[in-house]
Formats: sequence, structure tokens, C-alpha cells
Amino acid sequence: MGTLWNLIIYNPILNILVSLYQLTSNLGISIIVFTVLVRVAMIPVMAPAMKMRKKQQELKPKLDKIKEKYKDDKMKLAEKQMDLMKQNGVNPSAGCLTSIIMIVVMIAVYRAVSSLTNGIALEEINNRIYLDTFKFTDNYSINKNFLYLDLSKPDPYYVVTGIAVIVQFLTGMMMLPYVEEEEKKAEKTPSEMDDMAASIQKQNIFMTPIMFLIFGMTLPSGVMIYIVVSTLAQLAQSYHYTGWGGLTPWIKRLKFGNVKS
Amino acid sequence: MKKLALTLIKFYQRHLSLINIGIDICKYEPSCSVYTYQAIEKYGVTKGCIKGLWRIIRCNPFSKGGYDPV
Repeated sequence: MGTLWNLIIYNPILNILVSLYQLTSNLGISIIVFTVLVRVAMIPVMAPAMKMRKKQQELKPKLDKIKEKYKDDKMKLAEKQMDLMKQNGVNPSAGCLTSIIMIVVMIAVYRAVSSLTNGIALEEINNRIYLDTFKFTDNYSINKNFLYLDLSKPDPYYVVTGIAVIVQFLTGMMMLPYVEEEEKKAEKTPSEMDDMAASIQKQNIFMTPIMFLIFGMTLPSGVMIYIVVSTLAQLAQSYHYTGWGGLTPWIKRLKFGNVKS
Repeated sequence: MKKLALTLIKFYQRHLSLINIGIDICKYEPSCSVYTYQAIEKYGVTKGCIKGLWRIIRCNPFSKGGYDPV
């Protein structure tokens, strides 16, 4: 199992990261470029799910109607729901297996980044590198300085940590669906299930930034840079597909303030 | 053992699942985690897990999805 993991997933990813480092000889820049590359490679998998989320929000009234109509025939209900999605040009999502594979790849990406920042023996990395030109020479030491940071240590001034916490919070807010004030009043009382899902979602908005705060105090700043870039990419992706979402009231207020003055 | 497995699934649903941020990735109804939960309740841990695992493997870009109860 371990060898299979190394052979198929971990080694190729480590090779890409080390090649980037050898080309730029700057670990910070290589981590940033590497993270962007990983995120771009994941777009085909994430895009259908994000599109589907937007469509589901738009089609909610129609979906509710179908649910009401085929309450007792679940087979028919699932079929009709898919028909509606298809008619509106939504591809079905990539499925659970794809997302599990993605999580496994993300673990490998994380391990590759942290193995370079944590000061693992270079021989061990060399053993995994395919091309001789990209192998480290004897007595080489990786250049871990980036801006004011030592990438193998936590950020002493909490700047990277702070950015990670803020960006993650904004992304969480954006992920919430935006409901107009008038619509909120007009909407009938939501079912208990919807209510619970919404409250868990709200809870997560605060949980993840707190987790990032703890990560930032303990993890090497190189790993934190990876987390920041990754979250930024998620934020951009979320904006592209569903707009400002739960942040809409804030954005409006900002613009309104400008108009007023 | 059964209780532990069911608790783990509940934990996943509450805190890890992407559905919490509004992304519904599963192609089936009920979703893979609900399916596995029900399968473990019905057939016990070993057979239930195998059934759940098989369901996750089926939930890929090449399958059709749809209504698929335990």
C-alpha cells in the first residue's frame, strides 16, 4: 500500500515541486506556482459541482414543486429531478469517487510541501526524483528564505496566518447562499432539515478560520503559504461561479457608502 | 463497533461533507454516506461497509446515478 501510494501519487507530485524549486531556486515562489498549478488541474473536477450549486439555487422553486408532486414515488422523483437538471444544461457532478481521489491528491500535495519545508534528509528526496538534473547535489541546503520568512518555521509576525484566517472567513461567507431581505420575509418557514443544514453551515464559517489560526501558530510558514494560495484560488473560483453569495450585503453597503459621500 | 462506525459517518456528515458548504457532489439518492449508514444498520459493519464502498466506487463520472436505495 505504501509503495503504491509513493509510486502513483506522492512521487510524481514531489517531482513537480522539486523541479519548480530547481528552476526558480526560491522555495516560496515554487510553492505559490505549484499551488496554482494544482488548483488549475482541479478545475475540470470542481466546475460541474459548482455550476450545479448555482443552478440548484436558481431552480429551487421548480425542484420544490417536483418534490411535492412525487412525494411518494422516490424513483420517479430522482428521475424528474435529473430531467430538470438536464433541460437546464447542468451536467451531473463527477461523483463521490472523484472527490475522494482529489482529497488523496491534496494530502500528497500537502506532504510534498511540508517535506521540503520541514528539512527532511535530501537523500531521501533525491531517491524519489526521476531526472538526474533535478537531483540535489551533496551538501546542498535548500534556500528557505522568502521575503522576511523562514519557510521552515511558523510566521513570527502572524501576517501569513492573519491573511489565511481572513481569506478563509470571506470564502466561507461567499459560500452561503444570498437571500434578499424581502424574499426572506416572504419565504415560508423552512423545513427542520433545511434549518439544521444552514446552522451547521454557519457554524463552519467560524470553525475553519479558528482552525487556520491554530495551524498558523504551529505549522511551517511554507505550508501556510500553500494554504493561503489554495484558499484564494477557491475564493476566485467561488466568485466566478456563484458571485458574492453571502457577502452581497457587505459589498452593497460598501458601494452605498461611496454613493452617500 | 457498529455504534462507532455509525458515529463516524454522522461526524463526517456534520463536519466534513461538502454538502455543508452547499456543494452536492453525489450522483445518487440517497447520498453515499446515507446509503452506507443505512447499509450498516441493516447488514452489520462488515457487509454494510462493503456495500457502502461498492456504492462509492459506482459513484464516478461514468455511472448514471439516480435513485438507489439499500
